[in-house]
Amino acid sequence: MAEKTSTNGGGGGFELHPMEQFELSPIVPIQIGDLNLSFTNSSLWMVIAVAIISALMMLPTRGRAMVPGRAQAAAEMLYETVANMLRDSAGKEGRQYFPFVFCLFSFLLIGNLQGLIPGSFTFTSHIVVTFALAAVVFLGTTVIGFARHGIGFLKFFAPEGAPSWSLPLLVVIELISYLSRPVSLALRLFANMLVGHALLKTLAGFVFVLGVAGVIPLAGLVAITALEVLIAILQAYVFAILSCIYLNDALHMH
Amino acid sequence: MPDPDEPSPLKGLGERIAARRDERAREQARKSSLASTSGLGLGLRIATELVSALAVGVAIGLILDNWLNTAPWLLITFFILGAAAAMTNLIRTAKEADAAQARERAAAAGSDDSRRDGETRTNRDRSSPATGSGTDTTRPGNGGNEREG
Repeated sequence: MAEKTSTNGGGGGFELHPMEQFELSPIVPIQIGDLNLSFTNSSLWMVIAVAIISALMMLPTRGRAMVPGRAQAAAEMLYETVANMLRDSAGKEGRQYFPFVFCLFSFLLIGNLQGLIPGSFTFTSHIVVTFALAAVVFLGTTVIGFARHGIGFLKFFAPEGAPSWSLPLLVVIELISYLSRPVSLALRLFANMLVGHALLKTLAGFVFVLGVAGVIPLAGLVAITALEVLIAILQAYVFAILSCIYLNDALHMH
Repeated sequence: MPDPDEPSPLKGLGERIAARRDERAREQARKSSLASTSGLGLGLRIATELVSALAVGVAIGLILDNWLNTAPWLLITFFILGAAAAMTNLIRTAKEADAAQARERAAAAGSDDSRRDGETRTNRDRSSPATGSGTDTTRPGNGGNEREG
């Protein structure tokens, strides 16, 4: 997403760069062989997200108060949300994967939310990031599935009750459907964040271009910002709950 | 000194705790349906579900064509198969949403099926009694396992 689109906003040579916010810029350039391992602004905001989560989880719970204060209540709420999500969709056996799901959810949640701070960088708006996370979930659940059920996990791709002559066709379709999971997981989060932020920036440009009439897009901007907060939370939740559902499929084979 | 005639307050404590825990789990299951209630989330889910299966089909077709030198044929085949997979995904997602909605409706209508199974819990009367709208065909809280039929 590093291409630069220069859309002319019209009116008075005012230029709008709605995609500029997604550009990566190396902060500490690191080049090892052909690999560009620079520490970019994306990496910086990932580190910040991890720092925020660690602070939220560790600082307020240091006192281990029986009656939680505000910050501890927030930390406990986050914990309970994930615990319930995992229990509801993957059952008791899903418990042992709680740390992973919790990390995934909190990382995406904080990443999405901090992206709404003006001037920040939304690392979840890059498909490389979302697809890497989705690939970890996909490979992880597939490995768990085979580890649990052995070769019997392949039955997952053969729908029950289907006539045997249609099996070759159905297996291929099921396989494509299964392979589409990480793609849809990655695509959904990435597209939502990209579109939302591009829209905000574009509308914000209109506010300046239109002068006094700019209050109209400004009002829309306020509403869309609220919507973006909702989407930021919702998409982190959807990503995590779908991971739990895939985990459930691997554990119980529906 | 505890009165030997009076039943110990600890008697059946384990049962009470287990019952309360069950009940809480059911309540939680009712509440935690953010993904299913939000039409926005569902719409976005369905859209990506469609696109991604088709994209995977096309990608497989292109890769196999490249590898086996069978120009357009595998692409066409896998495009169709990808579309079929997309429809499968779509139907599954819709079924899942349907089931979640039915569960929610049932939970909203008659919310204390927990009453029926035993009277181990004595100190809970906060849940309002069912208001007679009998939607008991779909019982709430049967886990999340009816997806992907």
